[in-house]
Amino acid sequence: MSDFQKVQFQAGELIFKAGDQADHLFVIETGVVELLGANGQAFAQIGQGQPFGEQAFLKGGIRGASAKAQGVVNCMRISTDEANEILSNASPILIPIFEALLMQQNMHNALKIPLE
Amino acid sequence: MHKVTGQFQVDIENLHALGISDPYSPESMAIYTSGKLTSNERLYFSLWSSKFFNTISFTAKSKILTQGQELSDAYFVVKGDMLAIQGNQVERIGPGSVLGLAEGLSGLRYNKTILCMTPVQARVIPLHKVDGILPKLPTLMRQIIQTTVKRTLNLPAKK
Repeated sequence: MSDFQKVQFQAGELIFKAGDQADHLFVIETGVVELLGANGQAFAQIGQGQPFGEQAFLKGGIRGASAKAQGVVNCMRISTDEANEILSNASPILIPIFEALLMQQNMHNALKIPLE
Repeated sequence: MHKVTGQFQVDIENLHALGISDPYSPESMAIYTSGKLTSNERLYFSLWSSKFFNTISFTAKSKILTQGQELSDAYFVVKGDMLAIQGNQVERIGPGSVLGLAEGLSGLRYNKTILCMTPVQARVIPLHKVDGILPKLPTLMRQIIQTTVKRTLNLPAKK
């Protein structure tokens, strides 16, 4: 776990923005990160020990939300290749399993949107 | 009276229009890697072409899952239209839908009934295989998967 790159973000710093290519996921060691929707409104807060930016598991995926440090935030940064290697070493089936999990999460989010 | 409250599908007609009809062809792979696909289209393509999942077919009017049932398998829907029914609420779902994975990984019973409106082709995700593998993962990766499951199901981050 300690092999992953450690990164620090300052209060108010944009960690990534919606539309960026997703090539890393993050795990918060200390601090709080806000996730922002397309309108710039915060819709979730992520705290210590929690991951964010999981779309990075899909190489070439696009960020669906922006992430901003609420205060000083210390994170571990894990690249797509590192994550894929860890999953593949445990079992290659875990990569499509995680992709299916992301798809189910996207489906559940889409189903929450009221129909016009 | 049922009320339609939501809908979800990956636009597979768009994938076909882009030239993706066989997930294993070099032409399809070139489009996959070109950056032209949305995140959901990329996930769909990757799961559609996965060699780890067997294919299963359901006839129109059959039920893929029933509310309250225990889960031994989850499903990724390749094609076909379904209704997800929970009480008097109905969701229209189609290709790209994933059924029962987060629930199965959490040991929860399924909370909807999935009724096929057309013939449905799906890939079977064997939950027992995953159950045996997850404990072998490094703690951090296991936590990432567990957190994603909880977010999918809107469960609290920490019990």
